[in-house]
Amino acid sequence: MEKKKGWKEIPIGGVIENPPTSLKNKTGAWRAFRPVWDEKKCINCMICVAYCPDMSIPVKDGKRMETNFDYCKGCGICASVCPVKAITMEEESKFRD
Amino acid sequence: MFEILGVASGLRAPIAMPVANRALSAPLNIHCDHSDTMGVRDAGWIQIYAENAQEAYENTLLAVKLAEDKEVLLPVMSCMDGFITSHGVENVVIHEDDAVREFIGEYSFQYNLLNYKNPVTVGAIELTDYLFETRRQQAEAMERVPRVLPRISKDLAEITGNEFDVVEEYYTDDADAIVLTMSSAAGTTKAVVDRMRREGKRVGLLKLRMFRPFPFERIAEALQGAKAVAVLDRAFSFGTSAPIFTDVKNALYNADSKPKLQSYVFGIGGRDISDEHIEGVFKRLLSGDVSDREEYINLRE
Repeated sequence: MEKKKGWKEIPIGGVIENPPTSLKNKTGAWRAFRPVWDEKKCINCMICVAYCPDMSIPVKDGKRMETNFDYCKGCGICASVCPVKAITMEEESKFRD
Repeated sequence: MFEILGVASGLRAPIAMPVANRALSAPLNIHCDHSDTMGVRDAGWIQIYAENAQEAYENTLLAVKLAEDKEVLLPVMSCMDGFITSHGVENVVIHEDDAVREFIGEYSFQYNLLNYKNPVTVGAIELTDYLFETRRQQAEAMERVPRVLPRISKDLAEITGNEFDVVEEYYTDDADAIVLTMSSAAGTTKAVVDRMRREGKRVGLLKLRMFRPFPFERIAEALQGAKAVAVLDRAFSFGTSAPIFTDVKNALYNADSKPKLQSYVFGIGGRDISDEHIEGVFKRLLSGDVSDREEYINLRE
């Protein structure tokens, strides 16, 4: 466990001087539903990429890649906006032991 | 805007915000009372109050400098009585721009939000592990205010000729009866004190100029020797005592001599308070007629 700092040792106003510390906070652990992406159905329209509130859908060479499950909270917006139903939300428990 | 005030103080944003104090709805009322700023007295802002337009102007200059002081970095409300001071016509001496600019100086950012070479995160989440520490820092910054204030006040007085102090003592030294109040009602009280002094009555005014941080020791000192004190609040604090009265009583808890205290609420929704009303308060104090109830000035029963 990292030792927490006292009130005299931290920057004022909750400022974070060494961003982006948010990368350390793997919010994917919160997920109750997982977006399952069917690459064959996907038309690479990028609508899901634009809508993802956690920027968890990577793009490489103009193509959508698999969701980054370290940060995807499973909100389901991608599945909801997908025009070709290439994303379905499934119970996360099915993917975990 | 309650939550946003907490954001400003929590982020340590050095904002100077003039406030024309006004009654809160409902029912709708656009006249003066102090319900608005009293309602946000725990929001982490410094609060200073002006008796008249001259003070409103000079307090606001002080507010900028105080907010931006490296030892403080807290937002400041520079309050004046709505309509009475904010819209009434009054002569004001305007100071030279150059002198005021020099007094205010250039603000140097500890964290420049647009510095892409050295970016910082502002307004991030703090949960059970850090928010307590951040709040403790805010409490510390408030405690530093009385330490830095004399220096800023002295610099400002070189331009204005008026030194800002957290309280103004008006014939309190030998007073048997003292009225403690803030803002424009203090001006009316001064006229009453002058008149009653000419009649040989030992009366005085303790004008509160800074409400947050509250000057506990200065108030306790100034009230030593008085037989009876009336605290005139321009706000209710429903379910408890009026705000200034509560803090004054708190200030006297450890004092050697404790004068009798009377709480009055006045001026709600812009209700007039006249010299006769204040003279009536003094007369009751001088006769030792003090109750432990909250009483009301110029309210119809």
